[in-house]
Amino acid sequence: MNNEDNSFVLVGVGGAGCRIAAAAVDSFGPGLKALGFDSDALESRQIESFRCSVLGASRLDGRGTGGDRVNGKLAAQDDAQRIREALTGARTVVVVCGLGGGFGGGATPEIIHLAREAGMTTLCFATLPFSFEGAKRRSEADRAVALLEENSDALAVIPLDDLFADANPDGDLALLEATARATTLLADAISVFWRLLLTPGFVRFNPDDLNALLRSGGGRFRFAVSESSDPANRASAAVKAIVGSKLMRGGASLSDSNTIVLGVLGGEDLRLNELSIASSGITSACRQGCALHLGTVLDRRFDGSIRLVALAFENWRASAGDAPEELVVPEQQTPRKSRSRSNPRSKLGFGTLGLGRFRQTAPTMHGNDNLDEPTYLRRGITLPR
Amino acid sequence: MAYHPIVAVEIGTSRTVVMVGVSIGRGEIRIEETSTEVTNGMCKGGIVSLPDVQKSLQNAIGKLQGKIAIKISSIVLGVSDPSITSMVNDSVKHFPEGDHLVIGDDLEEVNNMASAVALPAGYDLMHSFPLCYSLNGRQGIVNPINMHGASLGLKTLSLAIAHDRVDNIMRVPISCGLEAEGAFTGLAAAHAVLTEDQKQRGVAVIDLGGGTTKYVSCEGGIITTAGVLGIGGDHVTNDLAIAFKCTTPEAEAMKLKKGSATIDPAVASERYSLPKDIVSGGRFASVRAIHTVINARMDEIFRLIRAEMNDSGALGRIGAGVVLTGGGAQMPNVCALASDIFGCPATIGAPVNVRGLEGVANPASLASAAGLVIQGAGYGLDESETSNAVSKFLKGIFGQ
Repeated sequence: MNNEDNSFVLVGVGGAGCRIAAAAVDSFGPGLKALGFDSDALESRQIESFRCSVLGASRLDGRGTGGDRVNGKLAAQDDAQRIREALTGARTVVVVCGLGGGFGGGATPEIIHLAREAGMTTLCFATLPFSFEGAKRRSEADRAVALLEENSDALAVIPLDDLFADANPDGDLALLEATARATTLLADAISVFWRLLLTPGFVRFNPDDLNALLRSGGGRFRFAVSESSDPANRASAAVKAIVGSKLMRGGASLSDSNTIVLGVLGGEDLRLNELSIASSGITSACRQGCALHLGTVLDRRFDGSIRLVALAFENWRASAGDAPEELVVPEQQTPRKSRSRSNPRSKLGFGTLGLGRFRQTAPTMHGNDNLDEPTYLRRGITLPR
Repeated sequence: MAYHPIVAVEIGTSRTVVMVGVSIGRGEIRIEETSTEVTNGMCKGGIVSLPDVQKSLQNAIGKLQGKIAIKISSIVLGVSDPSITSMVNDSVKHFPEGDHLVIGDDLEEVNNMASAVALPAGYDLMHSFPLCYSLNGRQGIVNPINMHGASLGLKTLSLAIAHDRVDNIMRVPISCGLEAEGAFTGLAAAHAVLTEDQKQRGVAVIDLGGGTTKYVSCEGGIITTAGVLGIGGDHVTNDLAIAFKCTTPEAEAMKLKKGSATIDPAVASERYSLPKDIVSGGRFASVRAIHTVINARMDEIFRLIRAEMNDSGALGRIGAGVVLTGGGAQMPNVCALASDIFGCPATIGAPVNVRGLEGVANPASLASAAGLVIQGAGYGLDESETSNAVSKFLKGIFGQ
């Protein structure tokens, strides 16, 4: 496996997602295949690290969604074929998006659904808005999380509050600098994860292993990355940083997890006992019987330091019939074809008035949907003026 | 006319079509006359007022009767009731001796077993489409004659309809003094518009009617999915009427003048003038809004069908794409939308398997009626041949 594995693709969705993906590409260097989708033509033109396609132009005229998640979804549906073509050839799709607005929360579930339909494994990193952005944005983000969880093989939900806290632990950075640091932290983490997968190491964890892991189950996961150059104690220091990170909920995500993926990236000076310290340090923070999947990367660029990247699956969703005894399956795996549709009711809340000529007839039901009600109302589509 | 004519009737929710065709030899059918009449008394493909539907049929027959010499006494009646449901069944015959040489009688027997399939309570069998034979549980056998096996199976796709619905439907021609043989209009449309190449490569036909949408898919000449959705063009009109607070005729006019299945950027910025009402003066609707309403409904119709085809495993087996027929196929950009949703080319289907409709406007809207004429001709089942089970199967459903 080399650094240019075209079957493994990073996809940025929406303004935030594309910015993070672009930063990850810049951090990784050549060999990280990436592409982006947005409805805002102006924002998409500002992405230089990869091609960012504009979706829904016939509907939105190359503008943003105005925070309307339904518009984001429809924009993706309008250009479904273009999305399929852009993803052709990929085996694993890693999607990064920001939730709370319109395009990220609306289009991402659709894009992941299309990828999954084409047989691709999907991994999603989604950021939640800051708490100061308000309850409405958070509520929109939470609704999008439910759809992402249903559609993706694995989902990391990253509260920006936690990311910000890890990037600015002392709280002394200026807002702009701290925001930039938070974006960089997430981009670096993705870049490090990519490097773990694509670079052969002493102990390998490559895209095939990831695919096998996700196809045998999946679910929500937390992830964190740390680095230490402490010459005497770097492995322990890196472990401590992971365990104590806000992104790992101060270690609670590790202790709740049944399955951990741990990547150890070091230079040619990486010692075997450091590998052992990292591995045992993480597993000691986990519950008994937790399955550990380990990978290492040896790269001269990391001489003098050690980096750890950890993915902790909080509610492992094993395939039916495959769950080994030591894994707890807290919920049934949702069959791919039977997705429960969200059923937004009309804000007007009318009853038979909204049925027009069909108000006197027996309803045409499909699941919980009365198909006689106008589709645009059931889908929550706001009609343009 | 040189040959005995076949009279086909399609009583749609919006209009009733009566079509007369003749078999002119060399395997060809020519449509001689067509009449259409507005249908009253139907809603969403079902009868809501029997006398009104009877009158619609009488008027349509009356218009046509004057143009042809012989008295119409029997018809092929298209049926597209939304209660129509499909199911896949397996019939298996076990041979006591273990290793048995399969002969024609065995196929007849297993075909008869398939016809006696268990249906939901209150349902009658409409059509039974053979999918494939199996020997000793191994699927995909096309012709098991002279093969050995301990068991012979036949997988069939059955279409069933609610008994009370078909009872009421058949009362309509009876009340007009006509004998009628019923046939599924979705299959009829496929008979009319598909070429042999399309049937072999795999194709889906979607008949976009006013009250219902019918769909049929096939591959290798064998039906793989069939069904009816109880939604159609009338739902598009109703959505527009509710969105823009206008009457149904006004919404229908809006749909015909400015409708599009996708949002057309070339005209989306235009305004459409709505009739004045008592309260306000001139009202306008943006064409973008009109397209948004229509697109949502058409998108839903196609996605529902797509989901059914996906569940049956037929979705990945339509190499020749999707063919659209019916009045709804006239909607601008409907092919583009279907193509996006199904991920394959979509075209408008014209009745290529009959003559006589070359000069008509919107021939796709007459596809079902033309296909009923083809079925009425019993095309592919020459009465002089001995119709045995293997012959039927090898011809595929389109030989039936």
